[in-house]
Amino acid sequence: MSSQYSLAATHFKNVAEFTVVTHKVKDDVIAAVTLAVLSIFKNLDKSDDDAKNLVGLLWVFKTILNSTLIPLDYPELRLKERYREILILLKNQNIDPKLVHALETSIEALWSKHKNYKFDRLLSISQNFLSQIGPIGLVGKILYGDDPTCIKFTISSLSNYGLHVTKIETKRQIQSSIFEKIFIVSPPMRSSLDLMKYIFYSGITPEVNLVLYEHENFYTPHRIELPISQIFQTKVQKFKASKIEAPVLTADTKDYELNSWAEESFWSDIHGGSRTKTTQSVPAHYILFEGGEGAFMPVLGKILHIEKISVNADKGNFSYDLSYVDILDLIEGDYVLLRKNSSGFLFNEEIDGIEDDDDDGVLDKITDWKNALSALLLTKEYSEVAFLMRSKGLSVAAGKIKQWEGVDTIAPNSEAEFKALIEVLAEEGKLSPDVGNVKLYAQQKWSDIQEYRISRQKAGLRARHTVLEGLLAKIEGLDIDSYDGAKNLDSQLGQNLLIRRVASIDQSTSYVHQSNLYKIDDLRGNKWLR
Amino acid sequence: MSKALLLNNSPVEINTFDSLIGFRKPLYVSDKAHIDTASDAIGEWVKACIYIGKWAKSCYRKDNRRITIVVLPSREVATAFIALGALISSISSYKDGLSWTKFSTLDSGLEIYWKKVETGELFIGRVMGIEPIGSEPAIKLEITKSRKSRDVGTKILIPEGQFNKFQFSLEKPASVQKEVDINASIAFIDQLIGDISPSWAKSDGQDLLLVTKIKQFQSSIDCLLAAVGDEALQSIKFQSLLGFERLGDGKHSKLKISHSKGNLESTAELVILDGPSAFSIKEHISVRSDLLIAFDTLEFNENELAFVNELEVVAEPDDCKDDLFYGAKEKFPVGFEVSSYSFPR
Repeated sequence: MSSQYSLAATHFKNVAEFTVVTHKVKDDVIAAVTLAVLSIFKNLDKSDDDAKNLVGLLWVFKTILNSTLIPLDYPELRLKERYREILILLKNQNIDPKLVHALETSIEALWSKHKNYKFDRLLSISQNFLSQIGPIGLVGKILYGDDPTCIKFTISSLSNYGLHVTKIETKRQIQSSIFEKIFIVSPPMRSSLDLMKYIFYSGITPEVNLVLYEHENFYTPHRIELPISQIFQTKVQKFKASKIEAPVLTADTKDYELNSWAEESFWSDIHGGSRTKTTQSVPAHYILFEGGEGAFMPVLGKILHIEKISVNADKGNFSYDLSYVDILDLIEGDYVLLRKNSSGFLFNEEIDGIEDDDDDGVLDKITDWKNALSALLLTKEYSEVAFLMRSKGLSVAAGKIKQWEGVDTIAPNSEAEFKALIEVLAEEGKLSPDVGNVKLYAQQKWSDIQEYRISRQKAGLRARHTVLEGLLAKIEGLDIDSYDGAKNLDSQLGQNLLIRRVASIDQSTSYVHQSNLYKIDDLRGNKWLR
Repeated sequence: MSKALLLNNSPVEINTFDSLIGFRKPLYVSDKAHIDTASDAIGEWVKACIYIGKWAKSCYRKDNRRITIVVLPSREVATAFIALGALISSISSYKDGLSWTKFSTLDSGLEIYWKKVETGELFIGRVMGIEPIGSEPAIKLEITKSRKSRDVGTKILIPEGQFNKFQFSLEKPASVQKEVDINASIAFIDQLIGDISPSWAKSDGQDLLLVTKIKQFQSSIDCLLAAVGDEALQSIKFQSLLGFERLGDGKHSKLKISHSKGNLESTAELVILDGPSAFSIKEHISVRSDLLIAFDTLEFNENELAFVNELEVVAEPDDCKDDLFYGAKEKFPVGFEVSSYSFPR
């Protein structure tokens, strides 16, 4: 395994040399089907439920057709079954018969086609470097579900030609890897944009090869760049899109619109959470696990992340670490440990075992001064409160006042800042007269806050020690990345513990009722995951 | 620096990163069991990291706060080199003799540690104030802990003229093993940049705080060795070279390290925030400290951009332009993005 140092050195080198080569492949049959699908798509009313279903199926069909590298009559692709489902729904729609006829005609030609030109091109490109090189990657993250484009079969076919290729599905999977070349065989979907950005901007490869049909457009994944201050303007050599030696397009194509629509429609069908806030709802993110399960987790929730910390794969030794992470810190391919209660709901890891039953009461008591701060902020800006703090000899940024007011921060970390803040609140007449001696109040409150922090920390450590360390012992030595390892884990851990691999996270916030949080959904029959 | 600089006895090309950092000999870093001078010379990206760390630390001004942002293809090991650069700046600018000024203003009752330089004898005690001995001011101390129990409770006066016979610290002095590491580290940096004060590493106070995911950071540099000069005769563990200790553990070190949910009360002039979780606690860092924030290319998103845009609005014209670098052909490597803003504290 490469060290972080040698990986970093290679990342810098690769970024400097980064090149994208585009290989366009002509296939009139697939182009005709794609055109027919897009024409039907344009004529459908996407707010109608049946039409929405139809568009979803058409989109999956079109994407598999364009992305797969195996012959189109390969039964595992299920193209004929998919098309039959499309035809049934098409009949119920009021669509120009000419468009349906165009689809039918082009599809007829499709069934008599037994070759995959993208695969042939990939092979012919590979002939040039078969003997030279190190690891080659192929981006296999194209659709949700269990390998709908049969990438696994493609990889094994390529190995018959002496080409050993790694299937790239997640960012986590390749974080410690370097590739000599990476092949991308379809335009990026929104779901794989993070992965695409990683491939394009992190330096894990010096060369990306795009293998695309002539009718397909590739748009460069956009990254936010650091604005360079005047002092370094002539000294920074930015990684430029011009380094990419390929006709790449911006994202304003019709394909992109369709993809965006389809992907939003995907999440809507998967979890049905609203994107609009109501008084009854709480903000949440949906996590879809591999294998077709999923659950809503609160935006500020924590989840137990399992990390392989030392690997001695040759000897079959694996070691793991458990830590609480924020939901949005998870990425595709991460393993998480989930605990279920007797009703089948997942535990709220942030609260369970860390806070006592009467914890809320204690928290309210030690943060009662926040009411006074909120009252002061009704009439003053954060910067004005910061200015008042300055009169106490403490220079604090306005942003700090905002943090202290919020629920994420219990209190200032510094005793001096806390006491000065209490003095300011008293002088501004926002503290209740019941407080009495302000200095004594501040002293007492600070002691309570410190005590709370220490007890929370101890309780957290205790809970971790008693429950989680025991669990770790059970998985020690197993390889959770292997299929058998994952199966063994499920049987060893018992019914109330689950180890799951993250397939995807809906980065957009959904607003759902509290009772929908932590509920495990079984999505195996969902049309997007078949 | 640019006058007669030699690198390994050969003239150095003016205003390369080597000369800007002040390297007199080449630096080698390896992740293998030994240093191979044929392949382990540090790359331009390492030099750029060391340079930006040195520059950011050297730009510290009492009245103005500086926030520097660095965006890199890979950040994990890079922050270790940035920290090394900042330490090089501290060493280069360190002047002996400041401690008297500092200690003579300490509050009565404060607990301090000291050691007799000549005998190595250790004491713990309390400051009792300043009293004159004749016309010379002296610090009055009460010994609260000593190897000899009869010393406990004794009050002693240490005049300014005798001050250098003792090493004072607000933190526990280094252990014997730690002292061996510190001495090796000082000798190494002396070879690398020359003309450094041996007392810098043992002088009181922190120079730098690194807020990072400690376990990951340590493992990223765990296997690294460093060596200096073409012979690269003696290598040193990179971790020893940095010589860091956890903030709040009371152990003496010029480079302190902490995590984003840990202790952040530091007097360091420069705080390096390593990655998004460290960035999220930037408001908890004292405004007396400058900030250097490191991200990797995919970590720099809308929130981070909004922060930089706010800095652009409040920033004042910069007085810390490195004329040597500015006038040179040298540029940061491709993918190395850096921005820096200065404004009143």
